[in-house]
Amino acid sequence: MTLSPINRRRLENFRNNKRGYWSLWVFLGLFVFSLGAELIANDRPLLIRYKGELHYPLWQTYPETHFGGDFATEAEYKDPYLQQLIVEEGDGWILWPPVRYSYDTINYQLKVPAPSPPSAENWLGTDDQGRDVLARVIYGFRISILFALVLTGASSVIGVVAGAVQGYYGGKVDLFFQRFIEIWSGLPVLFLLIILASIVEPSFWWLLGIMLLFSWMQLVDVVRAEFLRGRNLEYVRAARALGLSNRLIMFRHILPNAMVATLTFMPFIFNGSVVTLTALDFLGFGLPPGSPSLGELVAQGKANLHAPWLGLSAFIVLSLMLTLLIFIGEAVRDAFDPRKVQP
Amino acid sequence: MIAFVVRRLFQAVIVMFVISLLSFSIQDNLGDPLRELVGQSVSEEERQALRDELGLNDPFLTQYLRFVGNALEGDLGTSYFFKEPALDVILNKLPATLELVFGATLIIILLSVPLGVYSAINPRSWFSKTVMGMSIVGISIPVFLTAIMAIYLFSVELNWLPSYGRGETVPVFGSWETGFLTKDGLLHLLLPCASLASIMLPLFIRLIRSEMMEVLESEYVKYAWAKGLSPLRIWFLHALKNTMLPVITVGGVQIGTMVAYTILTETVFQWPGMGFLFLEAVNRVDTPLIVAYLIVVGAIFVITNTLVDLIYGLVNPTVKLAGKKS
Repeated sequence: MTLSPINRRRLENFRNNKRGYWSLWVFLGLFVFSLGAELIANDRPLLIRYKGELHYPLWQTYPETHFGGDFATEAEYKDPYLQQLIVEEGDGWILWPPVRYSYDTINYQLKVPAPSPPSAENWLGTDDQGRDVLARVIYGFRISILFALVLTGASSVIGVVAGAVQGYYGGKVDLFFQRFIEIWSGLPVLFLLIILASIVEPSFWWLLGIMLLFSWMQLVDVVRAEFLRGRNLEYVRAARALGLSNRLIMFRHILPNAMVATLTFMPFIFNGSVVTLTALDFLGFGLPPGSPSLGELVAQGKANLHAPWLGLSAFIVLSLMLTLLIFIGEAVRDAFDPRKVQP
Repeated sequence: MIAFVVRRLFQAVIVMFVISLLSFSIQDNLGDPLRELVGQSVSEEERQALRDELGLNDPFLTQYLRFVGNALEGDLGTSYFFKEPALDVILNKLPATLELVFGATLIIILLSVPLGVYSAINPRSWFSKTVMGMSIVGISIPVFLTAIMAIYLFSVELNWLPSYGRGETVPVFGSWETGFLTKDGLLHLLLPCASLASIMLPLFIRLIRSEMMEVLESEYVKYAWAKGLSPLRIWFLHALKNTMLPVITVGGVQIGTMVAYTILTETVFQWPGMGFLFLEAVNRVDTPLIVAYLIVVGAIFVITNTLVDLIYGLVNPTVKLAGKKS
């Protein structure tokens, strides 16, 4: 891929911002790491060797009878008896993921009442239902990022299209949309989100849709301004004179100019999405009960003040994630800033 | 200018109209008022008669107009749970929330102006750099996280400050009870106000700093230097005045946002204010209360936003042009 000189300069600017550049890598690293959450924190082993054969419990369900147990139900790998069967009778071994709990595994072998403090078994302790905090944090991080990613993507697409249509056609369309947005953004968003979330059955996609109702407006203004400016430039007029369709002119010829504004806003929209999701989760109007959500962990930390590891884990993960995003956002914004001339 | 004012007021009315429409559709779709009024043992015919009597069978528009008419007279329905007029319930809780917002605003003003001005005047000092660094982190951490960490630190570990409730309050007039006049009340205010302020404070420090730096570059400030005025006079009399202009606008808009954020702060500190009440109402499906709350908060939003725009229009002559153009 070849980059135009201006994009090369922007990339260079971004790289020169050490803080933002490294934040991006750390963030990407954590994200990729969390994508493989099933391989890191799971209550099933990654690999079992039993009677000379390899088994993959992550991908396949084996009944307990398969390993010489008594039940026809799925094998309970955390059961010491079954482990003994596999290792001794089957002359095999078990390869566990680093964290032997999934986000919904309940540790019934706790020696202290849940929430239990960090121990060799549960590195960050357990929550008030005896679930491993570390596993929940890893899965929670992933779901937050994925949610924010989809929300940011969707609101960017809607925002860009709305802004493009508004700015390109101008006139009455613009006026109408502008008034509509002024009204729509005058509403108390958080309250409406809470009411809407309390009406519907909470689920990932419902929540996404509800938030999308309000989040798409953030980009409209900048994209609109860019299109208003661009519609009368010489090259756009030339394109129109050549008989190109409006859609082609909008998205092929003007949009690239508007992408700069869009890109600089994205990390901040992303950040806002994570915060809103966590806030709703915290208040109990977010993701369905039982999902590994960081907001729920915060709520637990608040409810169990005698168990600081709950609040602390949530605090550290969330503030790390959000601070990284802000650093990235600032670096991107600076990199695209035309006033910043490369020496 | 008049056109600008009229346009702005018209827009405020429309926003309130949309809010009332939304509130009404929520009321219309959430729960059945009959279920709350009568028990299980009432026959279907009697229910129908009651429906007719209450006007629940009227067309949507008639019902909506009645709803608006009542709302304009201050009648927003009766709370299912409290068995009191919803507006009264909310107004009883309003002082607690307002005190929270007031305390937070006080903290923001007292800290952001000196810090912002200092870091604009000495952008290279280590103190300014620390303030700027902290403010980035501060912007990115949501208010409920700050609040919980503050509770851990100051209430659980150090045991200096109380972590929930309003503490001792004294009645001022009517149902207004204030926590500002007792030591206990002030101690209870400290953590919630600081947490609520934490989300806005970095924003204001950065805003004041960047505005101030811009103003310090301007011609008239250079001229003031050339005249040999004392630095204090230039900074605080000449420069600060123009710095505060955009700060006022942003500040006004943020008051609306802050009212929204009190929900989170109040939940963490179990502060008996409006936000806490709202969450309880949502959990109890106390529809009249939810609707009344939405309208009251919507009104607060709309009034602050409109006032800020109008004041800004009065203070800043360039706005007139913008008003004319569109």
